[in-house]
Amino acid sequence: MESPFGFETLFHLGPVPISRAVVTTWGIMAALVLISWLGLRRARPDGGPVQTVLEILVGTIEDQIRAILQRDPGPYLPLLGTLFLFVVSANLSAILPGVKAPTSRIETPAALGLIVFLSIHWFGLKVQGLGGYLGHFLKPNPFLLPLTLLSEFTRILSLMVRLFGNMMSHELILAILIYLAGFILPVPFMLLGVLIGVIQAYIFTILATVYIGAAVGAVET
Amino acid sequence: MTIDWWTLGLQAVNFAVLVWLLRRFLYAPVRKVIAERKAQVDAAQTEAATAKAAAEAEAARLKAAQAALEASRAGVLADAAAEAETATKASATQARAAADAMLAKAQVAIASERKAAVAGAQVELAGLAAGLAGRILQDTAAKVAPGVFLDGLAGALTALPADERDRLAADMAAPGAVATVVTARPLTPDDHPVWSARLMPLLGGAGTLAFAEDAAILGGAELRLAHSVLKFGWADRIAAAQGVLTGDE
Repeated sequence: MESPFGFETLFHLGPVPISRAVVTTWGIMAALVLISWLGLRRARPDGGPVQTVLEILVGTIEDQIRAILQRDPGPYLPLLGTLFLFVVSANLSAILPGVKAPTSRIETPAALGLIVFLSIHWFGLKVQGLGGYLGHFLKPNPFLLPLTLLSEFTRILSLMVRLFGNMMSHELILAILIYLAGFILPVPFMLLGVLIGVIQAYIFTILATVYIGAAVGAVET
Repeated sequence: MTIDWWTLGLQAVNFAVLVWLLRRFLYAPVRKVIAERKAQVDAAQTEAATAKAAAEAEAARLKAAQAALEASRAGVLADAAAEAETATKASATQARAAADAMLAKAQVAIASERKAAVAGAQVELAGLAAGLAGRILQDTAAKVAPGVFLDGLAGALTALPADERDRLAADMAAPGAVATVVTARPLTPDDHPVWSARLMPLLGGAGTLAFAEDAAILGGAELRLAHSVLKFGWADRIAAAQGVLTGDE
């Protein structure tokens, strides 16, 4: 069994090693873009079933973002919606035979955590301005600044590790069960993995939204 | 534990690219479609609101027209009622006037008929009374002495006004003047001088006195001169009485 902390290089593009997780990610990206393009290439108000499903999906994500941020979800939808769709797709990709979830490798959650970390500060600076955004670190008490700064990193670290730990452990348990009991017993655990994958994607996206919401500050009136 | 920084960087780039791709192929079309649908719904709502407003305006107009119609109907009914009342009153007045006219005409006719009937009855009664009186007097005259008639005639001459008697005397003074005494029954020759002696002085003493009979005078006597007649006959008295009874005098 391959170590979850190791990396499997499939090929090299020049000096750049291309791992299995990257290739799987490319496949997920292609699938998401293809589905979106097929479903919405002739988008019209009375669209077909695929368009309707996509509209419901996007509308639901928008509603969630609006409910948390209490703001127009437009500027945040591409990042947070893509975060959810990608994490769900990456988590559930393990169902496919021979495919390993990119999120079960530390690099993918780390990359997502890095992007969320940068996005938090980007939106915070964009909405509150430099002074306002830096000022919010001093609240509620300037003496808590070190802890506040530390939490900026630890919460992203926990976000990343939570996703990685859940998906890696699920994959590890599934591998052990297959090794011990063959292919029938792990089926319930695979179904459980679907649930875990969706929940983890939801948690990851919601927490990212909450962090961004805290950065952009008070509710618009 | 080792981290493949290349993979980490590639995954970050991959995610960034995916954000851009989905923004182009998923979020933008969906938001565009939703915006179009919302615009359609808004347009439909606006159209519905416009139609509703138009319907309400039309309903209000119809209601106003109905109210005006009701008012007009009430006015027409009131006018018709007033006209009918006026016409009824006029008809009643006209009918009453016609009835009054007919009644007055009938009353006039009744009065005229009654008057004519009364007049006819008076004439008939007067004629009957005159006839009866004439027959009674005709029988009575035979039993009355002529001297009574002479006294009456002489009294009548005496009662004449002086100028009348002068005119009678002038008539008798004319040459050949004759005054005729007419009685119902002939006077006896013995009566002639008595009558002459009594009447001639009253006539101025000139002329001649003649005697004649006329049963039509029933009784009494008449003195007929050239230009006048002094009547003291009973027939004239009965005729005068009949005239009084019939209202001619």
